[in-house]
Amino acid sequence: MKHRLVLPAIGLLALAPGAPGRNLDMPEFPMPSFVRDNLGGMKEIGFLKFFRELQKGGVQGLDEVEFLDTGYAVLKSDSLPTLAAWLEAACSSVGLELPLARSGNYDGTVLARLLEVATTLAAVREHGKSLAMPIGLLICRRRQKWGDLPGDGKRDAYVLIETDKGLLVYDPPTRQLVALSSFSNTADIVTIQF
Amino acid sequence: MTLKTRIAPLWISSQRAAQAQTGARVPRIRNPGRPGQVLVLALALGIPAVEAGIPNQRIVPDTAALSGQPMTALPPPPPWASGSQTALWTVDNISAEFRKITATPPQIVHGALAFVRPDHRWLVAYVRWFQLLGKPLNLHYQDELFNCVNYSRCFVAFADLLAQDGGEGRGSICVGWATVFNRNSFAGVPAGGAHAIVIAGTSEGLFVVEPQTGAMVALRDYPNRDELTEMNL
Repeated sequence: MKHRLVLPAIGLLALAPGAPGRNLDMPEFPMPSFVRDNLGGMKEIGFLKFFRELQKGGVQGLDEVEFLDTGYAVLKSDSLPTLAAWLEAACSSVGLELPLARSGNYDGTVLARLLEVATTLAAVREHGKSLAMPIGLLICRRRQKWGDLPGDGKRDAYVLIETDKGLLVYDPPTRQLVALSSFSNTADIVTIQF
Repeated sequence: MTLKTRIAPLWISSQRAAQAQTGARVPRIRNPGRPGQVLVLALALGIPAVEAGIPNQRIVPDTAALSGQPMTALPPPPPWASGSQTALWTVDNISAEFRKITATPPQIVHGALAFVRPDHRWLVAYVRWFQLLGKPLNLHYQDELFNCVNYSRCFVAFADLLAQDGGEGRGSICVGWATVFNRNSFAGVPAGGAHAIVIAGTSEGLFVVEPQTGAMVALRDYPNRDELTEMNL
């Protein structure tokens, strides 16, 4: 009789906030490959170069552009498939299947932040040079269709990455990737943040 | 323990320049560059016409690159717990909560329109858990690479992950990183300069967390509550 009372109580304790459960196992944080300078070191770009890239990408209203660091690395675009695989695996490890993410309450901000944090943690792990990761956030009004994404005017968020091929916009659920200069909603950008 | 807290203020607006002239501290780190200024800058840099970039394509995830890689095992986190059925806060709700406490509410940068408030007890447990990550993840302050912004973003990213892991399906959670002018010292971080912290809307209201130390106070008790510039959800 006692067991009938005790077992549910144990179950409640396990669900109470603060009670630890299982470990959180994630795929190892991904170290991207970086563009090198002429001397073999990591190429570094500052925010002025970023401004130039954004101008080249057709971004006109720069009032809502933020840079929180002074020096950024540049990623090789050929490391993007690895980063994409990591992001999908990390999401899968917490029960989120990325290709289906938009069928629920999707917030692309979370994924942009997660990817930036993951690569930063990889660089910290490998005692990387103190350069910020060039993985940022782009929030816009989706007024124009972009591939699978409709032009319905909804607010949406994407990953913006500085690479050897320039600034690229990446949408994790659809896996779409496009140069910022070819991005269809450049005129409706709300925020860019690195 | 001395904490480095600097984040780089990059552009000085007219407001900040005026403050600089009067000797006041510069509280904002948002880039307030103006199109006119940028145009001049662009001309000076000799920017070419807009280049045609790579066309729309799809990334094919390289799953093979992950195979054989070790897993990162983190300590058992606290199980996700949100508040009651009233847990969702819209951006307007969050702004209203700020206005109850400060006459200078921060700008809110957001991708979604509503956010799930965690149970307050969960946040307390999560703050403790986040402090345990220092060793396995080798978290330590490094200029540019891992500064106060990175600490705060890392805190928020893991909070989002745990909520997702806990089956939270109503949306992303009301935990964001914020920029502040550190007019008063808090949690061992000395006064002065721009800083980044975490702000969470919980079942018991808005709270501030210093992710580098685990210190946590209600926003109404945070000494720099009137110096917040931006909250990023």
